[in-house]
Amino acid sequence: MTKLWIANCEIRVEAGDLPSGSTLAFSNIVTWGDDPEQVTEKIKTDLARFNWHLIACQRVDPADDDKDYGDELNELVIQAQGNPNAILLGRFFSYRPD
Amino acid sequence: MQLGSSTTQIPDGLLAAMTLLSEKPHQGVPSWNLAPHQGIDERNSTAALGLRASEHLNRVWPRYTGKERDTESGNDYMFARYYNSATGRFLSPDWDAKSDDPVPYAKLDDPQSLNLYSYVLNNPVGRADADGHCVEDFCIVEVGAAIALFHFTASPVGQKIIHDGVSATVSVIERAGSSIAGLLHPDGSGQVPPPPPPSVPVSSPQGTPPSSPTEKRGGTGPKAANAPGVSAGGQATDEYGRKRGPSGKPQINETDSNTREGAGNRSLDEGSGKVEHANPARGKPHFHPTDAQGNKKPGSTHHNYPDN
Repeated sequence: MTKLWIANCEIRVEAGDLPSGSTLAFSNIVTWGDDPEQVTEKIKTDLARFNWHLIACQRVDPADDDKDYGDELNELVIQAQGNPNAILLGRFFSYRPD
Repeated sequence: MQLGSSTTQIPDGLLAAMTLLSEKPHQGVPSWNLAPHQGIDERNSTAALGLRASEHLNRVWPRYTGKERDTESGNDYMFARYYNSATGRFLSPDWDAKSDDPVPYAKLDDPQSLNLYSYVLNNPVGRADADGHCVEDFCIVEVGAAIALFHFTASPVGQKIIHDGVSATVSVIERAGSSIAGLLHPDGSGQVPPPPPPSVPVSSPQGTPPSSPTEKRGGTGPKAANAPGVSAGGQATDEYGRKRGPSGKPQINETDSNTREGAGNRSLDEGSGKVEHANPARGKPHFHPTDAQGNKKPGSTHHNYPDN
């Protein structure tokens, strides 16, 4: 059954794509899917369009209407609920490699 | 022919017309509007005497919708008229000297268009004015057709068809003359053959031209009115609901961390609904991560508010 998921993923972007100059980041991505594997594959394919690479998804959980994800992520969840094609990228928590 | 490092092919007729226009910005076609998208070297995009277009008439580089602003008056030069962005009105009515119609650019089924001083039907967020006369939605077809006709007539194929048409007309006149002369003779046939059809199909050799002058500037992303989606703030989004930047990649918010662990924890806290709540109950006001029920997360770090 298709559900709305929040996937916490680690991503590598191209140099210059992030304001900080970092190329590695974690992000919560909101999209529809049947199961975590399908969601992960969907995100991987989508990121590849921008020459971004999905390193791994740490967690993939169904979006819970009762949870408060904070203003930004709550807004993405609401936005995705109105768009069956939604693949919404949350804030990028970037870091520099050690 | 090639100009500079560009590989864009430009017909000689079009180049001549563009050169003429670029030398006369006061005639309503600023040179910058023609050059960068036609692959012309910047040197060739300057106006007469080597001055840049921005140095003419106290105008500055393009403002919103790509029009120039007069630095003395603060008005925007919209080709047909000047526009005052402070009042949202044109400084002169939308008249056509060649037309007897009192509202030549209005759509009678849209009352907003009957105001001769209004700008894009009072909807500047969703629409743009290409030439001081037209709301973009109304004029996109006629501007596109004019540009296509301009490209076509300047091209070698267009020149050939025009030449063939003129030759055919001359031929018809000559044949008609012969027929009339034949009628004067008892044995003349007097039949006038129809003009031959054009031998080359009518199409643009340069490919599909831009549908409006504003599209030639490019790089601005989709307009909200034409985009697959619109965000809550009215910004255009793609079919996946994402706002795109000028590069075509999604616009993203970023929080930078010193360590991978820190970045990962912050994203996990956000994604698991562990929102940080202020807790000024003990000592100096501070806040710390809490769980979904609002309880303090064990072992979490306290964060002090910045000192005022």
